[in-house]
Amino acid sequence: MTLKKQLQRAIANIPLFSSGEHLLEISHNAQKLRCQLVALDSLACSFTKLALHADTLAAMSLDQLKRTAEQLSTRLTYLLEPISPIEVDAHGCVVQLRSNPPQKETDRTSYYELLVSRSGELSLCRFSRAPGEQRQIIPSQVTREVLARLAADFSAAAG
Amino acid sequence: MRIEHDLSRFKQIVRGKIRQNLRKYVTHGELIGRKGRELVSIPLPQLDVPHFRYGKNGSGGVGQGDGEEGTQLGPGGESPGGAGQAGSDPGAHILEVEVSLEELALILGEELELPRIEPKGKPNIEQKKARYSSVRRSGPESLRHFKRTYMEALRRQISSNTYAPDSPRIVPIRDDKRYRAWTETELPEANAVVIYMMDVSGSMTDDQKEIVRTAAFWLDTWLHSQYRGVETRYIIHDAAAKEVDEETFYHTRESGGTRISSAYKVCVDLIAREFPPTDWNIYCFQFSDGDNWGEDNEKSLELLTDALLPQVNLFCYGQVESPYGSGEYIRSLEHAFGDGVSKLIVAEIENKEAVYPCLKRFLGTGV
Repeated sequence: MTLKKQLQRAIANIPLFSSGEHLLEISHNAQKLRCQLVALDSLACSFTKLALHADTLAAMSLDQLKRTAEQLSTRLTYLLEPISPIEVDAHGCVVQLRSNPPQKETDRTSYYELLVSRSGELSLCRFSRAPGEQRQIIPSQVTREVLARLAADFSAAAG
Repeated sequence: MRIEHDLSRFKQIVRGKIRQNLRKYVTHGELIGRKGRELVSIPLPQLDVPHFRYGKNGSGGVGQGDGEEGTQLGPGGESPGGAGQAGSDPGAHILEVEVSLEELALILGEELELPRIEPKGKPNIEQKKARYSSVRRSGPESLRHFKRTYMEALRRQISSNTYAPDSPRIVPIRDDKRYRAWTETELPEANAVVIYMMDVSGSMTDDQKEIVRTAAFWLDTWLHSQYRGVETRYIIHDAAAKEVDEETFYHTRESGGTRISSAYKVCVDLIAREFPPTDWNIYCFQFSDGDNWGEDNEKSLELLTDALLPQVNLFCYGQVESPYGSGEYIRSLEHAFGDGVSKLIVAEIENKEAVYPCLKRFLGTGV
């Protein structure tokens, strides 16, 4: 059974909730998916962080990490904004992808941030920042189908 | 004398216009370019040149004819051509005037009410300067003082009765010749170095770099007016830093991550190698979007506290807002130093409009 199928099955077994948190963890071969859910209903869910841990990422060179990031930016076309690589930290072997352009509203700016790291983690969070304030993680709201698709794309990118 | 008076009046008008629009020039970087290091061209679109305005001949006017109660003064009524047509003449051109950087710095200083910078530490190094301020009896012909030579010859001819007023020919002989001569004076010259550091990581866009360029131009202009022979050095960084020339500084874009500590390290090395703080006034201006990679903040603050701040006269950090507005470094600085370090000035530059107050904040300290 694929990671996607496992996620769909696991999420179907979680009771619906609109407050509190639920950490969803799924393992598949050498990959482990963790999703910090903050709301779940019959159609959609909200999560603060979606992360995939994979040994294959830890074995990648910086160039391979960059290629993985490029692949992800072409695959993840179904989120609120397109995502593209912004910075590559050779020192820490991390590639940072962000919404490009970010979503600008009158009172705040919101964007996705995706980190592909040689520590073995591939993670997605959504941030929001009002002028003069620090940025904060805000829940990403996606349908159950989109969440499953994200899991599948993360899994495929991590090899 | 008349033309000199007019020229002086024209310069006064130009100066007034520049002063009036200074915020606009600072804000929008409407400086067309620097010619060498001396002059800048500034567009002055609203400078009115005086011109004659002709009336309508033969159509009456004030003071002509008897007039009765209710008679209009001036032509009145609709013009014979009806509504105006679109013109075919070219529009008004923008007048560009050349202003010396020293003049510009003076205007900037007056407008921003900037204090003159008082050098600290061991400020002065003597330097010999030559000035043509005296006259000698010998010298190269290229330096011959024609007026003095003529005067000497005239004096000699009058005293020896060889001067004929009806045939006033003055012929200088060797003893009449006078030459310009110079004297060497020792002028105190303060040594100052300005070190610009800019983040060129992937998150710094061209717009942000344009803001940095504008701010750096004005900072440079002011500091050059305060010190003779200011040395300027440029450092760029993403995750790694290096010293570069001015051209590279403004036109490089990298895709690396942001590690501010790398720039501090290069700056510390540069100061140690070339600019001992006992002989130099050191001014550092750092620009970044503040999106430093998390764990680097601690290292950066350590380098700033222990290695940089004790050596510099002034350290200014300008945080240019990125499209994500995600820079946190300025908060780290505020948290670490608060208002307790007078040498450290921080400013947020959200857009081009914020360059003007930023300059006032950076340069208003006069340290």
